[in-house]
Amino acid sequence: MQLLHGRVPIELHTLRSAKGPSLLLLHELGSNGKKWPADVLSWSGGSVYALDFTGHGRSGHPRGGAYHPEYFLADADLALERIGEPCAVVGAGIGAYVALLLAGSRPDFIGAALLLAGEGLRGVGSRPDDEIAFEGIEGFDRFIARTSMNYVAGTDPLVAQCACDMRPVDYASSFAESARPMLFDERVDADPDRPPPAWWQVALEKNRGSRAPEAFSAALEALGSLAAEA
Amino acid sequence: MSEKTHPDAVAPERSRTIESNGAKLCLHEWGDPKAPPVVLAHGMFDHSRGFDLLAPHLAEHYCLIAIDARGHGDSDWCDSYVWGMDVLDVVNVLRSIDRPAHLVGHSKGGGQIMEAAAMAPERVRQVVNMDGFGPPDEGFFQRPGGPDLNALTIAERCAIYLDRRRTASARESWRPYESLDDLVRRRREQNPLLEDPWLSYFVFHGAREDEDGWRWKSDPHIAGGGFGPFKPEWIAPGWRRLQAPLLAMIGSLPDTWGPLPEELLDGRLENVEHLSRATVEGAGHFIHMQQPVAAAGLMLDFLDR
Repeated sequence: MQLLHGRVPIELHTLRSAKGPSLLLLHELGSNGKKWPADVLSWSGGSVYALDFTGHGRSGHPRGGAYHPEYFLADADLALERIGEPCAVVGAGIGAYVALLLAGSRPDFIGAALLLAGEGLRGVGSRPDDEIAFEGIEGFDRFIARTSMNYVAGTDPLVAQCACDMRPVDYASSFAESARPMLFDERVDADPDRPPPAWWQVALEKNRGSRAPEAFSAALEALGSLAAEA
Repeated sequence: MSEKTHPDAVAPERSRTIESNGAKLCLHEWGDPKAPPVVLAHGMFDHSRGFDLLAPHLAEHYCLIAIDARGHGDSDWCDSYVWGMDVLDVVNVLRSIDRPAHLVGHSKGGGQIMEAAAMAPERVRQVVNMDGFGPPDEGFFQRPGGPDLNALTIAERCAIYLDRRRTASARESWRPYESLDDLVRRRREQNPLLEDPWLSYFVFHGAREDEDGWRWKSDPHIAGGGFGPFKPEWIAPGWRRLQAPLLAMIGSLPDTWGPLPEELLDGRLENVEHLSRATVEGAGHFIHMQQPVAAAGLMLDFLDR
């Protein structure tokens, strides 16, 4: 079904309709709501919805191409409004960051959240004077071109701006504190060469969340139990 | 209504448009196209015709190129607005010029040209910022009598932003005002130091008349605001990347916005390597509108030709 965010139409796919707690899926940067593994249909609750963030999939590309994570957050919040009842949320990559912000700002509507690794999770650090991923405008353009190379066809390349965004720790911790306990993908801290982003570690501590099982189907099952408790 | 005039204002000699990340931007120009270029960037809810008082004092020596920021003046309305995209727009205007340029900005535009200069150092000669040094530590949005935003958590404030986004599509355009004078009165409430007849001239060029009455040209969605991890104390560290010399200008009069408390401004400007400073007597926030001769004099002294 189509929603309207400002002047831009965004697509909320209904992957399954059923009674029980709903599940909302938030994809990673450059992907879309049709790319989730079939496992999502093993959701133990009711309906399963997958959002196409603005600039992705069947959602519109905003005129002027200005993207930021909180814009995607507002996309997700419109989906929440349409679903109209508390639900569980799974986010991957930037979708995980958005899921954290959504669970923190709408704690009465997000019963449980699962945060998965993926594209756009890291941003460019926690402070404006951190080492950033580009040097000057030419570097920024190269960064956008390189980052968007692996995006699913039809993605607006400018969404790559969201990979240049800051992910500050104190900001993330405010959302983590007000959200219900969440599940954090244990694969994110499995790679010693790529430590988890600072916001992720702080959110895990502040939220008193737990690490989700590695297998997606098992993680989804754990999410179902959390949602049922909520 | 016929075109408004003002005895000291000079309308642009030329206008052109450029495409920047999917938005068509309107540029107004004064002076010899072969003269050294100066790119001008206006403040929030303003427009480039706000430079009509300043321009005649500079146009003899420079080619002035004033940008209508996206969502403002005669530039395109966009579907979303973020600070960084305005900065990229300034860089794209610099790229449309075949040689390095000076940058002059007011308020929001002043902050953005400093970032553009840091992003594209090879395209920028010198920078003049008129009272665009960021909000005070408590932010611009704490209104007297309004909710105490500092008492809310970030997550709670984010919920307010989301509530606003849910109704964003309902706010397609400004409500019409019956007459231009009504719009002038509205603007005077916000900027009591700006006097008629300049305010009428400035508002006339920032509004248009249709069958329902008078409306602002600017996009109401820029007021919807964004939300994000921005903090006022983050502004200044980025200025360490500024290579071009900066003239930091403020007015002597306290105004609706600015100037910042002296100590705060001093501290922020410590991050700028090549710094000159000036205070313009008899001006509040809108230095180039209230004291255009003095402002232009300082610029002519500072800017290379």
